Amino acid sequence: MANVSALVGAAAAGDQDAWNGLVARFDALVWAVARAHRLSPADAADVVQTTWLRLVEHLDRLDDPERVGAWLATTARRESYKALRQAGRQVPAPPDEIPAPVNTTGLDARLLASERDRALWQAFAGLDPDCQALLRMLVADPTPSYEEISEALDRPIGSIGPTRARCLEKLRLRAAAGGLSREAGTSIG
Amino acid sequence: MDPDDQQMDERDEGELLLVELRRLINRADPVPDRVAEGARAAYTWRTVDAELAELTRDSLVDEPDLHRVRGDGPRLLSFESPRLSLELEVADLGGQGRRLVGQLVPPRAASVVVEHAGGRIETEADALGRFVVEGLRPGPARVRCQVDDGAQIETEWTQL
Repeated sequence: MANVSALVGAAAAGDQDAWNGLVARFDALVWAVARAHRLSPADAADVVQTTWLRLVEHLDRLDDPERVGAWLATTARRESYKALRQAGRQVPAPPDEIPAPVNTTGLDARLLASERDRALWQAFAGLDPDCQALLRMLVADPTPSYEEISEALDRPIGSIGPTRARCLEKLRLRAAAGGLSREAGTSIG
Repeated sequence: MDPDDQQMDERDEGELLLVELRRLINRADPVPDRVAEGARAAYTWRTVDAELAELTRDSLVDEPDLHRVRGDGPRLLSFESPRLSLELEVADLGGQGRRLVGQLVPPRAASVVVEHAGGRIETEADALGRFVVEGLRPGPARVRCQVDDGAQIETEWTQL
């Protein structure tokens, strides 16, 4: 992986290719933060665009360029929060009290090709919002660091590992209840 | 089966499910092409040496009670830079986009440029430092006011 602080330095010096390198490295992270906050694809797109425009402004003034991923995660989380508030002007509750499941709008149902995919998706969608948000972050490609996830979800970094284990266990139990198990392989047991 | 083995098996199964979930979500909810394209294009907005006004107040975050219900009232934003500050009132006009009412402090005539998701709008602030811009598309926007004596204020990108 290219040295991230070198990319930041080159982008700050005017190198569009270096900027594109940063986008390639982190755009899945930024998108995941917005989607983990249950924003619709349209609102998520605005959050992502605002986040990158902010980075353009701040290329010269990052405290620690090596941690630009954590900076992006923090910025995207704050902007997601504002977007939720905007959207939530119809829903009078702070975002952490909205019991909505992960926003599945824009998920292409046709892409849940197999029975197994649908069962796995159902197991995921049945998890509590905190687990859904954490798993949504964990499956971003490339996988974000725990620090980035901690910033993205505003959770202590030390809680990420234990929560990950707990959420995976819940996912396993739900998947098993839904007929998914390793023994079943690619078919439904 | 040995309890330790079973626990490990279950953990492995969780990890395998995560791998499957990653494949599934990255296929069903990838970063849209136009979003990635927008991220790359964001770089062309780079302005070197601009001194950015800091967002010091956003009623959406700081005074959520003002915004319990849609239509409760405009959102109020304050930006500060060393020589000028700017108060913005953002009203959501539904299908007609956002209306921005600006007030420069101290009050001064100025030329005003608003860049937003739908393009660029130029206007003037009157002698009392007031200006109005309509038809802004929701999304990131920034405002730059240039006063005749050379002082200027430029806001950071903010979702309106």
